[in-house]
Amino acid sequence: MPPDSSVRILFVGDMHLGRLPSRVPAAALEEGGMDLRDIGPAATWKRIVAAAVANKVHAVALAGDLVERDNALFEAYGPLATGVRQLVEEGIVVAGVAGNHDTGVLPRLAAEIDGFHLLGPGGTWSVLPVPGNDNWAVNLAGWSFPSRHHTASPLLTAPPLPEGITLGLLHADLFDAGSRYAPVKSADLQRVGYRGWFLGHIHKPDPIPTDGTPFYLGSVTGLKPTETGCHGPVLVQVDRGGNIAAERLPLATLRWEERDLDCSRLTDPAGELAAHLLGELRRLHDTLEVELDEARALGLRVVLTGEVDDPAAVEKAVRRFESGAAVTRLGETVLFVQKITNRVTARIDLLEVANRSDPPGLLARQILVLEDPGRVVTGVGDPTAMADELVAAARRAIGTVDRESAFTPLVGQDGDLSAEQVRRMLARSGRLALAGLLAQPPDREAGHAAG
Amino acid sequence: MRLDRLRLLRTPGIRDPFTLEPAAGINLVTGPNGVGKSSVCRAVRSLLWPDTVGEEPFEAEAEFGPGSDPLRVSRRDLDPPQWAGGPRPNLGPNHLAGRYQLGVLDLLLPDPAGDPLAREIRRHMAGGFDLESLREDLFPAGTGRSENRDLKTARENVTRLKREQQSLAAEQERLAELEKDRELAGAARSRLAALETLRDLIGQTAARNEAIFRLKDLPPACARVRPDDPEKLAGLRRQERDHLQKIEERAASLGDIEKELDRLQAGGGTGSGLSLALLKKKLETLVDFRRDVRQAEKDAGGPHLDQVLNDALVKPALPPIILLLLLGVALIAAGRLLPLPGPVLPWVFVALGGGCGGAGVWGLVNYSRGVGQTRLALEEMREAARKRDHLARCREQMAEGLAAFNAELAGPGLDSVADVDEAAHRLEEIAGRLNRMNSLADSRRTNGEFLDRERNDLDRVRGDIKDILDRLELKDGPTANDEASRLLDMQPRFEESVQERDDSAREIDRLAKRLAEGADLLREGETPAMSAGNLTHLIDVEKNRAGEFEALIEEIKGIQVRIDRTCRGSDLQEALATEGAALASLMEVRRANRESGLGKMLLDLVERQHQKESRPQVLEQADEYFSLFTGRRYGLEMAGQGDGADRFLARAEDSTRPLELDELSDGTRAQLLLAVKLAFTTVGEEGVRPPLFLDDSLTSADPERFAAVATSLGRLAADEGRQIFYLTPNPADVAAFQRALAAEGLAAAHHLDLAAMRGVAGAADPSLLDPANLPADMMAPDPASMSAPEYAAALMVPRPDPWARWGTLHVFFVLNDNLDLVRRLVDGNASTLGRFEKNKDTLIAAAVITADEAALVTAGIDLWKAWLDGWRIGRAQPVTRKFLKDSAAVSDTFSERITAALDDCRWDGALLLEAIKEKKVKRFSGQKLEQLRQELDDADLLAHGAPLTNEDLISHTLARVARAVAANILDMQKVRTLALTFAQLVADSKTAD
Repeated sequence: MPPDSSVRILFVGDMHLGRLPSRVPAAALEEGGMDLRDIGPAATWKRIVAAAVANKVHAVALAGDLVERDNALFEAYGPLATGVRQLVEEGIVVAGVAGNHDTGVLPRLAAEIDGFHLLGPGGTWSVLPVPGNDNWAVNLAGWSFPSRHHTASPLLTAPPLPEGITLGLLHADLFDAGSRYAPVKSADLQRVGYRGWFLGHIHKPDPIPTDGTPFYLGSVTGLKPTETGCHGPVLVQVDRGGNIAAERLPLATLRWEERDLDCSRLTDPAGELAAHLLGELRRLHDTLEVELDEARALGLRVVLTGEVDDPAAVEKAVRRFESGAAVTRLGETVLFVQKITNRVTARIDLLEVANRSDPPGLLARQILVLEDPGRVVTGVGDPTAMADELVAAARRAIGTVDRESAFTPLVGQDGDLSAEQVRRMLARSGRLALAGLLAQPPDREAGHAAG
Repeated sequence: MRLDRLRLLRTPGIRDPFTLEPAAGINLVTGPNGVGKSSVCRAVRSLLWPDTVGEEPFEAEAEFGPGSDPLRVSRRDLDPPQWAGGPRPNLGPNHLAGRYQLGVLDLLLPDPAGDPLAREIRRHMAGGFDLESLREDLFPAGTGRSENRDLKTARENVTRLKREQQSLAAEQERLAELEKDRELAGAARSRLAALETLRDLIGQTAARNEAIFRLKDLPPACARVRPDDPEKLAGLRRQERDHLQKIEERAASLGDIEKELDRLQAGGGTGSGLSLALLKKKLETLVDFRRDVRQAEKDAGGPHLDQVLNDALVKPALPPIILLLLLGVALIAAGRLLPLPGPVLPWVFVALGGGCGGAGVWGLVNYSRGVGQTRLALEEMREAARKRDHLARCREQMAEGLAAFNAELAGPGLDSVADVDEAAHRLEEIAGRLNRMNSLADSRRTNGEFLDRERNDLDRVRGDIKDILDRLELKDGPTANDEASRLLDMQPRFEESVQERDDSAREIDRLAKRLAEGADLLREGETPAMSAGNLTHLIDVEKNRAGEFEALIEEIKGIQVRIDRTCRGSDLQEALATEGAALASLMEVRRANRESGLGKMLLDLVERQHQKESRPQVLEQADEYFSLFTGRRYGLEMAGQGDGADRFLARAEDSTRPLELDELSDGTRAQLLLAVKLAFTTVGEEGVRPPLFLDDSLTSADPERFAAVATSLGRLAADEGRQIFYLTPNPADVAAFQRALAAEGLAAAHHLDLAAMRGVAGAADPSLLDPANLPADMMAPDPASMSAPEYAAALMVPRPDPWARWGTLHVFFVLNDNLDLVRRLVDGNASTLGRFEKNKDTLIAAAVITADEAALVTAGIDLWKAWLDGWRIGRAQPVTRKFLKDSAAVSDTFSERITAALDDCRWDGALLLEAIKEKKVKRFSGQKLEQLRQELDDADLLAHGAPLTNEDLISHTLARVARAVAANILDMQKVRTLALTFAQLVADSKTAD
């Protein structure tokens, strides 16, 4: 950006320093000659600091959850403090609000580093003017979590309304009114009258608005495979007229993507799975080439879709697939397939099979009922009741699995499955079983005779 | 479909062509091993189902009936069979080919629960679909134990690291306090130096004062006393005394000399006017004169008047003589006359008067003789007067010479001498005196000189003494030496004190300077004047505080290093990541299990529904066969789902409930299994019934099962017209088979002696083929003439299998010293310990065995169980193929390689793990290895601990059968022998494997 009278602020979303990505296979690290730290949040934070200096920003605004609460004491605090000190030494204003993860760390940081400004300490609002080159300032208004959980809206305390242009910095939950993480409505924020709202908490980055709509900055790097897409801080330039220009800097060291791989088109999806996956990685690389400049690693979750002749073979191939089996390096980026989800189905005419009285026929009826509960199916008197019974039985079966002692640590890890989820799972398993049945050797003389 | 003729031209292992012409019904093919029985089977198979025999080149021809035109088929090498006389009949798919080759041994399984047959029939019950395989293949369920364990480990690690970091945080919080303490300790250390300087200064001052005080008590001369002073002084004293003594002695001697000289000088003749030579000359003159005188006197010879006079004078005078006479007379008269008292006294007067009178008489005599002599003397006196004149002259001369001599003597005042001798004597005397005087004078001089020297020496000695004493500031006196010695004794103390004083003085200067430099570190009152006690206490306090300085530095440094290291580290991050990954893995397993569970659930539902709606034909067929084989006494059922493992049940006509297989006799059980097998074989046939081959020998079966199988086959052949081939190397089977068939009224079997046909050795002895030569009831042979090993061979006793159930052990092993009992048990259908346990009451009731014998066998059972338990300690069961198939750790990719490795490892799980660890299974990941290890462990396929030694095994076994030993049912030697025998048999068996 050319030097002008505007104020440049680099907004940084959730960093969760002190945490490392956990789903990167060793083979990918080996391929890239790196370890997890090289693609963790701390590595991205270093890049952010360098980018702030390079872009000659006037301030760096940290939107909370800078550290991982479980590891906030040292491993997170050390890199955070180092980066903040570097920024301060460069004459950059560093401000931040505490998120639910760093209610203890940021006050400590503010106490130890003079140049760091904690906005809204203890659940209050405060304003920090960020002076630009031309002797005018943009106000940064912020509110910090007073404790790990905060069930009230931060707007219960009226935000200050200083003169001039004010940008809001907040760590909050826009989506869940009952959230323990400072629930607030987007509309309420907009009504405050600030020129823009930059939010932390949700890791999935929102598209950057220019009309002042509150948006989530997103995590600075993809921590979980579900955090797909381009991650990085947002560089904002505000002119005297209150016009905002913003862009996301793709500084994330690790990027996650998810792609569907339609196996219908593949001649041998099971036998050449690895080759197909590598091909998908290359295509992805070609697609994201520009954004991938900064990423050292790209993890891909692949969903196999489509209809195939032998879904059981695909399923077995997927089960045999070991994380790290599909790894490649293109340029400076290591690309790997982290997980494959098999959603392929057999090329089966369910209606036709359902007319049979043998086990495949009986199974086909179940699947039809599950996939379309209201559908009239041959041989099924009350499809809805059958679907409900199947779902109820499935819940019992799932409960049996969940109660196994090996899985007790998972209690409470995820919510209860919805009926729809169970139904889908059941239908998928049914399709898999049906494909397996139909694929069995034609030793059916007895069965035929019987049937 | 009947095989009427088979010609084998060339098969693997057989080069000479031969022809077989079987009959309808049962064909008993005998011949020693290697004669070609199995080749017959394979040849038929290669002709009927050529794709099922692999790449074996067969050249064979066959003719099949029973049509009027035989159906011919031939095959050359690997070419497809060529059919003539009609097309290839519908023999069903290739995969059914194996069903026509029955493994008879399968029919003899002691416990067919879970047998694949049951599974197969389940499949048929599922309309021909193998739902079970589908469940296993498509819906495997992981245990999640490994993932659970990983998660637990990861969480423990996270917890530990968090705890460490919290501990470090607590230490970090202490840093400020520690810094403060460190500053205090640092200040204390600085102050401590000043305080110690102050203390040293005070100490040095005190030391100096003390030294000075001590020096006051010590004479300054201590500084000057020399180590040899006392000795030197003593020497000088001795010298002084010596000199004094010498001086004294010499002085005395000199005095004597002086006195003597004085005396000599006082004696005269030592004057200067005295000429000894003159005197000597005059003396010589006098000597001459005296010679003259003496000659003159000699010549004069007469007495000298004086002499005469003297002689006369000496004669008694006359008056006294008279007086004596008178006295004598008076006394005598007095004695006689006077009245004297006593008788004695008068006589004393007489004696005295006589004496006096005698003396007077003697005097008168002498007086008369003297008067005569005087006259003569006067005459001679005249002559003599002349000579005397001469003599007088000589004497005058002499006198004159003597006078002259005396005159000489008079000069020095010497006394004059009277005669020559005296003169000579005097001269000699003077000479002697002079000599003496000279000598004395010499002595006096010598002594004087000596004295002078001595006095000088004395003075010098005394000077030396004085010097020493002066140096030592001692007064001369008798104690001076002691004083000097005392000084010398005191000198070290003195020097030490001086040194101390001087050193202290120097140190005081130095300390004072240092103190001045650090004066600001001292507080009020901390001066050299403060008390040492207070100062010491103060120093102790500061020292304690300062002593913590280094430790505090180290502690602070350590904390900072740890903080720095932790800040730069990533242990907890990695642990959290590992925890996250482990959690995800476990969730993934659960997800997969959920899906698998749902899949299985659907299949279960489908299976149940299908079973409700149809009864599989194979079950019907098996039921039909079983009924046929058992003379309609039994029917066949399947245990329903949810009723335990897949298994068969027998429905007896006379029983209200189905019977489990283990409730059936061995023979009936064999018939059931044969029925099921045959049902699978025949249910899919569509008109054509290929020949059935039984290629295992029934010889090892007990008579009951042999007969049951034989009659069942006979009935099958009779009922279906099925051609059956029974191949055995034992010709005696022919006789047994024929008898069993005959017993049921079935047609006799056709015997084909393959050895005889081929013209090779091993043709059957005709006598063995005759049923009449068989024991009447096929009872176990009489052991009378056999040793135990021979009898075991006759009974075909199988080796013990330590991993099989205990009941499978042949009774022979615990009764090998009682072969008759073994025979009775075998005959009583109790050939194994399990059967004995089941039938023992019946056997006792039927008086086949006694209660004591039953107790003996029971004790043997206990012994075997005890031995088995002991042997299994530290050992694990061999890994099975099923385990590998079920293993989540072994993917299909690795299945063959792992199987090969296991084969190399004799199916030992632990050895397999080692082999994998040693990279003998390429690309098998470490993670999978751990997973496999866990699975093996979970399945108890990994040994823990070491196996017992034989001795320990014996002890273990003995301990368990102690009651039987105590009851004399077993003896210790037998226990020991059996335990060792078992160990040997098992070891041999393993070696044989």
